[in-house]
Amino acid sequence: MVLFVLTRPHANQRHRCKEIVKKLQERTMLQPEPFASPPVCGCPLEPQDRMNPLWHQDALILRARWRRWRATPAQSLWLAFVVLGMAAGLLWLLLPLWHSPPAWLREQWQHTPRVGAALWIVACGQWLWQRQRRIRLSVAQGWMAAWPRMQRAERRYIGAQLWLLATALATLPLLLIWRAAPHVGWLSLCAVAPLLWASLLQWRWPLWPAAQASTRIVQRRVIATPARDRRARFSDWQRTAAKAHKTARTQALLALPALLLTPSGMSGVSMIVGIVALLALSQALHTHHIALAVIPRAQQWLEAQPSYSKLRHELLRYPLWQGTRTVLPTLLALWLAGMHAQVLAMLLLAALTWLLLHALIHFRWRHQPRHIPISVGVHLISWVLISQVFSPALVVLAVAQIWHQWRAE
Amino acid sequence: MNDWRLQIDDLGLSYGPRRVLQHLNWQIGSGQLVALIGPNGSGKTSLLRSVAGAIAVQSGRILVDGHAAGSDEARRALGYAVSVETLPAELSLSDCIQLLAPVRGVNGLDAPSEALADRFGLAHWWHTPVDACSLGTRQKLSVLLALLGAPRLIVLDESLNGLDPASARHLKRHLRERVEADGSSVILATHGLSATEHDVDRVALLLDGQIAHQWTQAELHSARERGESLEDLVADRMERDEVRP
Repeated sequence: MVLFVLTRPHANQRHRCKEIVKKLQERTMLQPEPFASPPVCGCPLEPQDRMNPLWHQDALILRARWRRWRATPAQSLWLAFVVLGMAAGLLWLLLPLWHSPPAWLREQWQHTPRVGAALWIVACGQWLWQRQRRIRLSVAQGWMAAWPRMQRAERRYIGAQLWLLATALATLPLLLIWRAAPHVGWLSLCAVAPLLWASLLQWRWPLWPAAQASTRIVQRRVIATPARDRRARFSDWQRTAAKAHKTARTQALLALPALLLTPSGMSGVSMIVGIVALLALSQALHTHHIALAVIPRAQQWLEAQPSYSKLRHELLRYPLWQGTRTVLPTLLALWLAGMHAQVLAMLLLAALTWLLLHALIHFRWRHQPRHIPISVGVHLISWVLISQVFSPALVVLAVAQIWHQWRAE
Repeated sequence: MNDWRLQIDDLGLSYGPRRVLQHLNWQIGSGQLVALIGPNGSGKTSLLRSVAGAIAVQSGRILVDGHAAGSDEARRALGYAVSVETLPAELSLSDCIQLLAPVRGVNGLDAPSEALADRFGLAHWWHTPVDACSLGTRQKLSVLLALLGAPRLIVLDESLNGLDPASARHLKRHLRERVEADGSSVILATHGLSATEHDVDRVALLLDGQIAHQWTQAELHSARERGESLEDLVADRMERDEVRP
């Protein structure tokens, strides 16, 4: 009661407060600019005039991204450079393999084609299934979940997506047939399989989670996977991504390119060790990516906390360590490769610049999670550079990466 | 066929072993503005998502304007304000409306909704991506999307959260005008009891997976005369049922 009496405003003060609130409310209603909404029209549109909302959304997102890329030209150029570099590197690795595939792979295909064909067919089915499941989930849990006329639109969208992917998958066996690879019958089956999968998945249409207008009891598992477009921004994505490397599917998908990239003449043991190392390193990179995504969220929380020097120093340690971890193995690799001292000094300067760039990127993505791909790009380039200059130094980087992973976790 | 805008019979919903809604019966007539209240985790959002057709009916029956929930006819009759988290982050506000408008068979906002958007002060945010907007702005967009195409049943899930007092007042006025003008019905799930109790025709309390009690405006008025607020009524009811929020 005492508190109430002390804090209770005087009648005049209350009147004054009401006046201020009223003025503020009136001010919020003033609009200096004309409202730029779409034109008002009550006329209903014909269904054939409407674009499929899912394609429409994709088109609008692409347009929005294009605008965003144009708004940050330096970052966009950098990312384009990274993507082009990676694509060129991949082509550089894969083209020789295309011209002369590894001997063990040729032998394997010649002797037991049905194993390879079965693996391919299962992988295609899994891929297509995941594709349609992901789209269905994003629609069922996204903002379109309660929209009318969505069942048909979604069916058509998924159908088109499945056929596009199936056609792309069928291209590889067809190319092999064109190159006169043995066992044309099996290869034909491999080419037809994705198209059959696409037809089957489209025809079967196993679950339509939301739209079944039914009054009977439907027992259905409630799916808790977050929508795809939310993953980059919410902790659900981190939880999902953190488990991704543990699934057999991901590891199988990683093992396939690893097998294809194995140089011919390599012994079995070293090949296995190489694949295991690649899987471990990809996992480390994945964890690193997750750790990067955590930082902006931590920053948001930390900004609301009282700042003190120890915390500021701790926040500095992470980017410095991260940059050092990338730069030192690169320098070691160059030194081991027998570089001249003068060149090494110049490289050291470049490395310091690199380190500075790293720190700048770090401080930027801390506030803007969209910049995370830049950091990942930096890491990938480091890896490619090291592997090309002196690949044994990758071991050093791997150890550093494992240490970093341990800290990140 | 009766004239219920919404009719729910013996609705049941569970997430795995957890039973969220059980034997829920509820009717809303045309031209009613109803507040749905309940403790956290009582199943308000699940109930509204079931009504909107975003969650399949597991047992029982939901009819929206005489059509089974989730059917195309029911979806056309219903406008659902989605959770702001599900709005496409990269699209601007105008993109979102441009995307939904043809689906609802219109070219854009109708005049009353446009006036509401004007009062919401969205002019400055019209071409801003959703993820760059504040919670309140996203909430306003979600409401506008629910109002697109003049649906006969408007379902708003915690849509007053994050709105400034002036915008909240504009929204409540707009809903009242719609209800009185064309006989639309509105369900407004909320925790702001004191902010809504004067503006709705009925308040429904969701407890233990059922509509435990409903208060009409007349009952609320007489309770206010006795010196009891809606908060007191709800708290009493929860204590009587030994419900812990």
